Amino acid sequence: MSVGTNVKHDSAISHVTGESVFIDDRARLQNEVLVGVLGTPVSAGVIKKIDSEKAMKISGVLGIYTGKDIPHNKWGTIVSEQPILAEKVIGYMDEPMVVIAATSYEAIAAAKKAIVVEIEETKAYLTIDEALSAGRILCEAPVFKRGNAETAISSSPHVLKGDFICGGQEHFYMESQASIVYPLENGQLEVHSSSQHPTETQHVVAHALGLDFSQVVCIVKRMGGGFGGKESQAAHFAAMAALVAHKLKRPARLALTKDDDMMMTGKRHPFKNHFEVGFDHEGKIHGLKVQLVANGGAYVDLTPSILDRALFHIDGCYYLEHCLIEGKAVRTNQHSNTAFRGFGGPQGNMTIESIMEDIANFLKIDSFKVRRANLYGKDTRNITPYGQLVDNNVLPELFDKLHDTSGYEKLHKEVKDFNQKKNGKLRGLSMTGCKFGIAFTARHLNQGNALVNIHLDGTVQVSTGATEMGQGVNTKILQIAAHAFGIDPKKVIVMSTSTEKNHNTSPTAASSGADINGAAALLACEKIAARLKYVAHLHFSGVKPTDKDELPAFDDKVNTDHIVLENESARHKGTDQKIEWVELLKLAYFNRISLGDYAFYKTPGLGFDKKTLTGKAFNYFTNGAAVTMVEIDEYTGEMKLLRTDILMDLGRPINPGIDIGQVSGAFIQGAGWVTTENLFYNEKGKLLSHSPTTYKIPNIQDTPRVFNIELLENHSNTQNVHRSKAVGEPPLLLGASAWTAVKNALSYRSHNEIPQLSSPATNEIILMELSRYE
Amino acid sequence: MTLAQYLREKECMTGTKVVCAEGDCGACTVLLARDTGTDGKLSFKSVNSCIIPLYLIDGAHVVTVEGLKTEQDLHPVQSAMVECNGAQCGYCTPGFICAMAGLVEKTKSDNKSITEKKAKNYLTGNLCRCTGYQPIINAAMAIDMSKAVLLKDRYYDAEWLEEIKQMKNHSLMMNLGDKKIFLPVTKAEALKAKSEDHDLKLIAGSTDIGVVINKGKMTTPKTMALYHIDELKKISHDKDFLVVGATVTLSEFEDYVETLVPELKNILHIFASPQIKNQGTLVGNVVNASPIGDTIPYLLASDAFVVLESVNGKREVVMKEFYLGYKTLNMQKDEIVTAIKIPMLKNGELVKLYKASVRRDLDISAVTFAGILEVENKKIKTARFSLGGVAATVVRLKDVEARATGADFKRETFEDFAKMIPSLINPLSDLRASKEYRLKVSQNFFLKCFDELVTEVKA
Repeated sequence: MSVGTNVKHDSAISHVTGESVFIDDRARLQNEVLVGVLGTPVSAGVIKKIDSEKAMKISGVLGIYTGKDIPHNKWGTIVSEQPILAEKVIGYMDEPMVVIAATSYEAIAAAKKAIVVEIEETKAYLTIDEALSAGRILCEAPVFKRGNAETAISSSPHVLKGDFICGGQEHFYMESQASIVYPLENGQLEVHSSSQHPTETQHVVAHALGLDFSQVVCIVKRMGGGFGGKESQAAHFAAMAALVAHKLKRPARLALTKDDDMMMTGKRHPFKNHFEVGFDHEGKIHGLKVQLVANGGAYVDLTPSILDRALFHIDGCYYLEHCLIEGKAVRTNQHSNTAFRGFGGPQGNMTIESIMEDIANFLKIDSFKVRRANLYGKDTRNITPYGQLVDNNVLPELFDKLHDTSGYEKLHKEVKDFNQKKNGKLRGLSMTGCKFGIAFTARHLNQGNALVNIHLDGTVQVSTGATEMGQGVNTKILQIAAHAFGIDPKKVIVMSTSTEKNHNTSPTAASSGADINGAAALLACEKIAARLKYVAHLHFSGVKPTDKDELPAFDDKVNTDHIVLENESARHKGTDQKIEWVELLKLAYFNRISLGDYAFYKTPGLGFDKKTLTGKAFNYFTNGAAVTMVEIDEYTGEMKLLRTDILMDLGRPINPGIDIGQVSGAFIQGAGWVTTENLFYNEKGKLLSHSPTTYKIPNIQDTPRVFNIELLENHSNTQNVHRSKAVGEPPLLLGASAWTAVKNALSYRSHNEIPQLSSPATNEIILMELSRYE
Repeated sequence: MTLAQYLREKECMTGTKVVCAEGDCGACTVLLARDTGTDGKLSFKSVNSCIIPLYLIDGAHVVTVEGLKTEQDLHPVQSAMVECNGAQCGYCTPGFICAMAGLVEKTKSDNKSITEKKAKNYLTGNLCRCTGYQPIINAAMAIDMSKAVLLKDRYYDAEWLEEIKQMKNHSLMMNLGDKKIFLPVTKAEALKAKSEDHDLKLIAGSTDIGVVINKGKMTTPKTMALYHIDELKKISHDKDFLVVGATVTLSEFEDYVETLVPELKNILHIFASPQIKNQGTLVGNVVNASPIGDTIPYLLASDAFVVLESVNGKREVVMKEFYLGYKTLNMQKDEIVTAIKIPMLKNGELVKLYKASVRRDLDISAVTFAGILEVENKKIKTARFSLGGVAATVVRLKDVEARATGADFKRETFEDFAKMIPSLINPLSDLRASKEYRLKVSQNFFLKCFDELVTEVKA
């Protein structure tokens, strides 16, 4: 029984020994070419001329290509509008413009300096406000409306208005964007890419070069982190490598440096959200109006879907009886912002958590009480603004349990007492929650397929569309397969993801990798298991093949419920007869009964009506809550996390060990987003924080001194494979508790004013806010 | 060519990863032994292979992630990481493994055990984006030390050690096309070389220049490294001075001052990662002359001397006369800094050193502060203050010092100092901090200095 156990990550050993192979670890072939990318020197303008004559003469340079060399120089997941290489109009600073193929990185660097570009610079729109006032609307979201927010607010005892502003976030996957493309015969290409979406990579490469989709195979062994940054934005870099491979008929390797990667690729969307909230003396919200504005960057990319998800998560864990939620995204001259773990959810969720904190500060009551008063109910107050029932709602018990186990009231008192001492240190405490909707909001993506092959020694290979980026999806899938066959998980390997084995795959995104692909793998396994049980049934019944006749062909009408696959064998539950796993396989094989199968899965029951904006947008919700205590140095504004307690509802986890690792990783990534991770651009729109020297993701000293993670027991999630719940994104939303805790800390010094805090709450932001109170 | 490039491209040992190429993420961490310890065995320390030019490992032994497991068994560090789910995507993992092996090497050699604090300190220079570090911390605490065979024992080879020793007795000149590299074994050779060719660039740990070269902003056609010169490796003190030789690393310096100047040890603690401190030198930090060099405020406030030598002799320049302007030094073209002489603290001298940065650990400073004071009978007897990150060089605050001398030791006095600050410095706004923040923190550091000292003075 491997489902539910802590099977080690399938790459754990090769990771710790350094044997795991990432794209740039592939040995170089003799005729291989290195690929470099030159970005645009301005944020907005028109390219007049690109002169590469001098650069071409540099020893080692084999080719220099521009957009004109690409047959179809446009791509885009939702709207095909983004050039692979900027050809005429420049969308943003450091946008890929020229591709250089050379035999050494020195030659590429020299070529970059020797290429002469003539540009007519135009006005750049760099901020949300600039773009808004210029009317540069990229997309608008449908309006979520319930009841009458206007009236509810105006008739409320208290009203607050304000802006919630949050910055972007660099993915900082350790492995930067990378692809190697091998040219094959007849124009075919074999693309190895660090991509969360091999199918889109296949499509973008093929389309760009005018090839058939069938001529391109995209293979993904693993990624050194993805976090959404390789969902859409791996594809065009693969296309650049493919362009070189296609032109020169030589293998081409593109592995961006960290600096180039950070400057050229999109990030989490910054948002500026205006809210107006009406509430009563207990903090219960009567009415809420929010207008969200996202900075989409230069191109559409995935922005409309991300904006949608922000709207879907503006309710957080809280019931909004009367609400009016509007959203739009603006087009700026910045890197095209893209998917990042949470996909708009964190920006929506944090808005309401900020509002909760403000209400508590306004009423001078503890924020937990405000949150508790607004929580979704079990039987009433349990419909989302978009009309989906929050069924099997565990939020009340989850909040109460964490309140209890974290010793919230004791911590609250400690913080209060501590802050009275005024010893140069200031503490804050806050609890926030998440209720993350699981399913792609684009319904067609909720599908997957899987191929399972059993070999005669009893080992199994599983192939699905899921890509492994560290999250352990391979491990969960192999557990599901091992469980289905009752064999040791060591006997199962999940193979590289490849578009020739699994077609039209969805991106490994929306936390859905194990849900969709695990379910598809289970279906395929069950198809084989049914045949094996049938063979076992015949075997136990004394039916034997003869020289003349093999066993009768599989008949799905024969009841095999009495046969169970367990402990490396098939067993008759009634008679306790057994046949060893490998013997069973041989019996099936020699009687020409297939040991492999393929299955297709689609998430059932999704039904969100885009006209009425109501219905089941999500398959289910993954819930969680976190209590965080912070300490601020009042001289410098420096902040540290003293303690975090997390309680997550992950249903029945397939692998609790892997899931807890996802929770701790996501929480810290979320906490980084709202504290130290500050994207700094100069006035021309150039990103100056483009390496870890200047862009500060959390390091080991930033993990809370006390860090408790528990899982809530919940067996109710029948909608998903083995009653598990998706885990990848939801706990990232809990990082917000670090930020609301800062807000709480500031309230002890703000002389009854509601602290004004934007995200990220850097030392500087904190100190400047503190000095405002002096 | 860097050590990391050599490993990956020439040896196809791709366990060692390069992510940032600037020594800030630790993915390229390997273990390097340049010298033997008191036991006559190599002492392996974690370093960043992405910024070490290959010529800086002459006569050294390098162990990469590939060299940690044996045919049969994983290294205990590797087993612990597997057991505790310490690896997710795996890209940072080899770096963490090597840094942890460095922790085991040191801790077991010292007959000590691994504490959580120590583990975190050893892993400060390694970034992971997947795990949130908790599983890695758990792994570090779960290392089975009894099973750890130290690398210095496992790879011990007396013959080879002797060979290295012999190798280091000969100076080495490499002429590689348009590149020239000189590794002298005596100070005299080094001074002579510098006097003959002023363009010869000196490289110590390459922790700064290595980055600048990687980012394509500098080339070093002619370089000289001093790490084979024994007399420059020395650190010692008497009742007047602590003398730190040119190739003494920041780690060695940090260990040495632990009891002599605990405040200095504390600031060195958050100065940089172990990898950087195992490579970088104090002299390198001084000569690099950055206005945000973390060791400089203390050296400046304590009136340390820079020892300069050339074929024409030796002179000592007090720190405040060493920096002439932004990265401009009071140094002749043929001179080499051979040591830093730091006055020993006098009895009763109190020290406060602060650093503010975006992230507390392993981050470049926005503002640094040093204060050295003597307080007697509730009066400030002497005071020396310096601030970094607020001007083109680290600055001494003479006006504040003058006001302080003889003033009452009370908070109002320090508030008064804080008020003086805006007229004394004019910091810049950049990506690390705004001008306003730098001013405010500079002022607050004076208040913090008093608030902390007041308890010590009473005691």
